[in-house]
Amino acid sequence: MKNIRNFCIIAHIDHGKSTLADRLLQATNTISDRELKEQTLDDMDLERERGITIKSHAIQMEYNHNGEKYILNLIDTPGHVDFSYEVSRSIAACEGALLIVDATQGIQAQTISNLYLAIEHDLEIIPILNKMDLPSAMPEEVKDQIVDLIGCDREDIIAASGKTGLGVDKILDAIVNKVPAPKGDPNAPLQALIFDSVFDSYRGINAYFKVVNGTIRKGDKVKFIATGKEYTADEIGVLKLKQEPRDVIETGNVGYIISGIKQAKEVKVGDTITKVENPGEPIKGFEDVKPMVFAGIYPVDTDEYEDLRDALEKLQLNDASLTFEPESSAALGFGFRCGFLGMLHMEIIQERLEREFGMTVITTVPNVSYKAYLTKDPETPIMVHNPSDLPDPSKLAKVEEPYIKASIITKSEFVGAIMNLCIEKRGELKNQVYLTTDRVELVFDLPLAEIVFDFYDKLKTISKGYASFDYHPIGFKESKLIKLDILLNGDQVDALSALIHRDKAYELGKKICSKLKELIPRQQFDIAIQAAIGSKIIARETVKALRKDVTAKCYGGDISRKRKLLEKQKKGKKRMRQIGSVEVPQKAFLAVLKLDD
Amino acid sequence: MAGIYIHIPFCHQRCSYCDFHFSTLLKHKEKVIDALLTEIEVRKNELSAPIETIYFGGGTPSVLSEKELATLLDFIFKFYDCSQVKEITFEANPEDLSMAYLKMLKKNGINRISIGTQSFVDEELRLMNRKHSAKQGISVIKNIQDAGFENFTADIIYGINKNYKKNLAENIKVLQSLQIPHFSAYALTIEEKTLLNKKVKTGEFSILPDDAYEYCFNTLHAFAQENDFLHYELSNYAKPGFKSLHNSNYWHNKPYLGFGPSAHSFDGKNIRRWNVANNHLYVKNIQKNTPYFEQEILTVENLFNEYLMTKLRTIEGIDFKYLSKNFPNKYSTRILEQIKLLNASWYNLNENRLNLTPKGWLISDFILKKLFI
Repeated sequence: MKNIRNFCIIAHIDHGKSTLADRLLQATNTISDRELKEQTLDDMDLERERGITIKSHAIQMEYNHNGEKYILNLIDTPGHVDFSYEVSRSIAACEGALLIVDATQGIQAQTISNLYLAIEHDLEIIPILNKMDLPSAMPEEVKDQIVDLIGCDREDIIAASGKTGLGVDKILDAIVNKVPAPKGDPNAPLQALIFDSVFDSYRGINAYFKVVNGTIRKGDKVKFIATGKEYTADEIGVLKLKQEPRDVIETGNVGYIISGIKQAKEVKVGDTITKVENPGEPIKGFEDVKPMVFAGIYPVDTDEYEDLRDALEKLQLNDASLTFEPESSAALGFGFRCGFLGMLHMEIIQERLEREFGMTVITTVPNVSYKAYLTKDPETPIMVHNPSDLPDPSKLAKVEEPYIKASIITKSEFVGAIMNLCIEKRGELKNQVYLTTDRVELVFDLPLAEIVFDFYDKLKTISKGYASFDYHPIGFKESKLIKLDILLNGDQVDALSALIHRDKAYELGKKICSKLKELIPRQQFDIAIQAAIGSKIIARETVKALRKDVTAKCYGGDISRKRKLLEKQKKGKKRMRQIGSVEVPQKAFLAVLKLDD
Repeated sequence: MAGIYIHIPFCHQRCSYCDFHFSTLLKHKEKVIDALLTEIEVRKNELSAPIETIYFGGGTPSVLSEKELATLLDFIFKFYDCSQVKEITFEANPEDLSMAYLKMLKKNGINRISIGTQSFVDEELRLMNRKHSAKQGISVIKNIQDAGFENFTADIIYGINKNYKKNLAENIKVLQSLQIPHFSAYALTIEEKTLLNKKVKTGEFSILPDDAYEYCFNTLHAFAQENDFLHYELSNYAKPGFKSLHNSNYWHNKPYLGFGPSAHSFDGKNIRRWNVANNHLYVKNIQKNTPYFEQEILTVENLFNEYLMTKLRTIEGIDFKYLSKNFPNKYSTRILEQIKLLNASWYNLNENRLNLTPKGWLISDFILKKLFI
């Protein structure tokens, strides 16, 4: 145990975490150059494209230091706020953390909140300045930020570059010398912390864990405490580039278990594995993660409902945080109300449905879940996951919506604009701290629903990209919410309804109508787009009937180009959904999210 | 019967609406013509059908000297069966057509001129970045007639700016007074890679609303009807006996060979090919005998879609007998199902034919997207 080091990496998206991790794997010969695809740890295509880690991963390295062999377990963490609970469990499995900061950009909000998590868990922090090879690096300034933040010595900050390999040896030495060996009692009852799980279509769910106390052996009868389920440890092992089976995983080490589990929801991140005989206590900190954002997902082609169910079930096998239940919409027919951890998670699911399952889907306006209280029973909240389910206003005592505490770190020049944005989004300023002379952390209480409605994009625009954002939920608060309906040629389209704050209804109604006018193509007849509260119309736009759609020239026998163009446009039409007499493109359903584009 | 198209990829200056392939580097003309001659020769066995029409397009064919034109025609007559040629069209810009040049064309066998007038209103010519004036356009048409060309056509582009009504009236007046036997009229289309598109983006130029085009199209159609022009294709109008043979063949599935950079060819069955749209690459690959064109083999669906696309541009429309002979029955059934969902004023349908009305032509892309497989 004294030669085991468990560590994670804390970094903001794009700060070069994955590239630097690859260098560590190369330097320890865990992976050969030939095997190294770029960003080995992000093995989902989507992750590689977006340059972010969605699921956490783990990998074991062996490192010789002063003639002694050390086992280094790198536990990779997801890099997005939607997945902050997974981050917290990964951190809980470690004794040290590499804090990677991009020398050209400085510290970002995401990094800080994860860093605080790591400090809370008493992790040894190894500060690293990455991307030192870039001419735009500003090491002195960023070092100031780091010293301010964690109170380390300037000299302890390691200058590194994932690209050139600078500093990699120093990092490995620091891991061995500074990160404490895990402390655990080999003779105590087994307690292993699950920090991740992956789906394998042949072998079911593999759970990744760290043995906190005791040891686990192949063939042990084990119990997952939170779910109460019992299994046999059919195979256990350590995580090299591929899984390597072992007979035993000792105290302090990290490994995987395969025990014939078929469904991801049986393996909950944060749960404790113990033995059926002589069981241990659950490790504290377990939470059942609940979805934060909900949206309807419908097949564009109504015949594909069952295919969509299959696809969602398969996705759920390796993504337990996805929830779904059947729902039906007057406009869209049969589909599913899905729950997501956040907006990115929602986009990822939608994209995976399209790419991995070839589904063409319509995602409706996302919403958060509300608590509605009826006048006849004002004590019992009714959870509302879909605007259409909101009880009739005359019977409502009140509605509560979820709030978050948001931390935004930006350059001081953008503070004014960001404050305006947050206040416009019904935010309440809670704190304002100057981290350095020109970097400010703003803390706001904000309704979660406002984050769902084009907050990220606006934040990025007004701060020219120099703002980072992190949040966590802080409970429900009463709000004056009403249901805004959209009508196309007089027919209400339930999939376009949204719950919004009363004071914003008129403005939003107008914006949604004009956005829809942009997105709905002209058709054979005029299309009236109306926004309504109850029976009251508050905004209207008209898409005029099509009067000209022709390519006048078809010159020099170039038939192919025109045919291909029309064939392509025809394909695009297949992505439209007929609602009443109107053809509505897929993207119109998300129109409310991008009102200012 | 088959056609030959020769692309002359040079222009003196760029017109603001044009996205066709050409270069203003006239110094490369000689090399391109050499390559054209090689292409004409090497493809001599591709067609078995005799040639009916020859068409010089561009770019600007009127950059050719007499010697260049004569050599090109010599090669064509030498390597292809030209015993049945009926029409040799030559595209030209007004500023290039001196009386001497016209006589030269006549002498070399050109029997149809397509003149790039575009407008007879100076304001519109300036906006399109044309080199000639309205006055020049008018006098060149008189020259064409004086030189003895009976068969010629003028191009008109309409819907340029807010004065579109007045300007169209002026253009129609000139068409009428000059006794022009054929004209093509196109709505101004803003293509991606054009000067106009840049100006649209910066706000210097604005696109007219659809009803402006609708107005122009209807006005032209009415003018045609009142003046003995047949509106025989979406954008083409002819006095009796003056339809363009060459262009009509494009709509009627006839084979054609296209020579020169960016030129398109069709084997009359299921292969379309197009030469590289780059003068330098064209010359280089022709010289080295390396591939200078791409091609596609049309599927049944492609062929069906093309049939609809080309035939619905014409007044004849689609022929259900032809469809049932060449395509699965369900294709015709589909057309009948789909067309009935559309506004009845857009088409004429009987048991043999389906064609679009002028109203339908105006939104023919929309209709095609409904009818395509």
